[in-house]
Amino acid sequence: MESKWIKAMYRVLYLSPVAPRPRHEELFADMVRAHKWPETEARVACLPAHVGQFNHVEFRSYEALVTPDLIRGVRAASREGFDACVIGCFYDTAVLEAREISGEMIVTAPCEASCDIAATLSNRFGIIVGRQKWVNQMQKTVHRLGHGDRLTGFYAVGLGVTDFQTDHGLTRRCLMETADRAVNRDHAEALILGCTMEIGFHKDLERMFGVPVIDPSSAAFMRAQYFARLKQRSGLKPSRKWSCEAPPEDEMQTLDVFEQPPFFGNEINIPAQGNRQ
Amino acid sequence: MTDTKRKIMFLNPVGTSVYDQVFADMAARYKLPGSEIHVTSLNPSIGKFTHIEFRAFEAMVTAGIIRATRAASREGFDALAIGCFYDTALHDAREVSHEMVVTAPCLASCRLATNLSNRFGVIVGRQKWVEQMSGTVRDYGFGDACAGFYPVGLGVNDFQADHERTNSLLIQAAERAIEEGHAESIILGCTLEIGFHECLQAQLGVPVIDVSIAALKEAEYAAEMKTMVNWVPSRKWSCEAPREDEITAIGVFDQSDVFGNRIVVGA
Repeated sequence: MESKWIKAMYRVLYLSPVAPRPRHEELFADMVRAHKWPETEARVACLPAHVGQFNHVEFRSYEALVTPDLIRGVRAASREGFDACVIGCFYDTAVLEAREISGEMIVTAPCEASCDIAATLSNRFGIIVGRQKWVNQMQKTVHRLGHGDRLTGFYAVGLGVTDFQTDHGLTRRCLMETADRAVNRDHAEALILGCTMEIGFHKDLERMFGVPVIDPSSAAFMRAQYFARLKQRSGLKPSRKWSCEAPPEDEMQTLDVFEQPPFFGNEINIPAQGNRQ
Repeated sequence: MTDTKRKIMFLNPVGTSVYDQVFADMAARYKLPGSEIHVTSLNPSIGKFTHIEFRAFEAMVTAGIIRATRAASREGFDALAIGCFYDTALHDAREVSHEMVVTAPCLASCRLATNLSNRFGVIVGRQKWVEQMSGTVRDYGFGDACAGFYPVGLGVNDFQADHERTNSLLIQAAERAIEEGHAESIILGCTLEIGFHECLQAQLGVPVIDVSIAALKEAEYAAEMKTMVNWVPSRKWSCEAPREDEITAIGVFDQSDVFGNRIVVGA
């Protein structure tokens, strides 16, 4: 059947917390096209170039430097009428901060989305990460999310964020070796690929090891899309009570640092399109 | 004149200097001879934040804390205390501090309280803060020692507005912590609850920890261990710092006017 334009019912933003660079945004746009519903309108974007030439945020201090622009981007997306937003880094960079100022927009991120799915599909899961550097922080996040006892462990392959897509053969071999340790030595029943740039390898690993392998950017996008539908259909929106209280709007305007366009770098807009189900 | 044996920065992580003198007076009163203390605040260009009660406000000043940490390290400070009980950006700052030790009020106070008692209560301003702060206390390993958080219904900027009212509210909340939560010591969970601990301690009969003093003294203690025993931050595994050449290429880490104000309390 011929695909056609249809009215968007859900609007989802996938925001990668780095500066734009060739092929990077397109990689996630392809992922979004593969997973979105026909009635979902999506945008894949990076942070504006003025944030600094970050092509990864492996370091806490790098996350710290991109965070103000993430906050501005999330605020802008909320004002634009997006229903849900993904912060596209497995550190779940600034997700709690972003939620505070997201208005009625729901904010999610790869680590929490992946852990929720892994805990639904298995009792124990392992997380394959790039470098040992990342483990301490990610482990804290998994524990904070309540999944600590389900972890068989973190498995570092010795690759940095920007290495995963450089030599696919090498990446595949590294992931296979560590997945074998996680599944066959430590008895992981599902695997999470603990970096959004590990995109494209989960199906090979699934075939090889016979366990669910979760690609975190896909998990986060699908979770955002799911929450967007809950919001539209059931009216479920973020709480603003007690710890969820947002700063007063007049105070933010007086501070005068929350509105500094441009908010996004290299936007790829993917319209609602396809055949109605 | 006393020779400078250690240099410590107390960084007030806001974009205004309005409370800097309060912290400088505290430093002058409680520092050791030989400690040179610089009380600093961030450049107002980061936003004229007088408080960072919200996570989103912390998010906006965090970049300034990173730049300030790098600047302090380059200036040769031995230790830095980040002056907010959220311990804002503590782990991020440590990553780029080189050989300078970084600490913060919540961590310092919990360590002190568990030295002086088995169970402590934390008196905070508003209920808003509790979820994040209780997460931090648990993260540091002090969850089981915490009797609870007790909000008094004041914002950060309210504590120094009417001292009599603040004192009365702090006493009431601390009494609840002791009688209902069985707290054996009290932490005043905001750096701007400064100036009340002596009166409370005399009235309550348990240790009452002023978190600004605790952070300053822990920084001083760390500075002493650095200078005397050469105990400096690890750079292994999770403590790895970014490469200098990558930081330079990214191009946003260093700016000349990172501090908006500085008060020097001489050795």
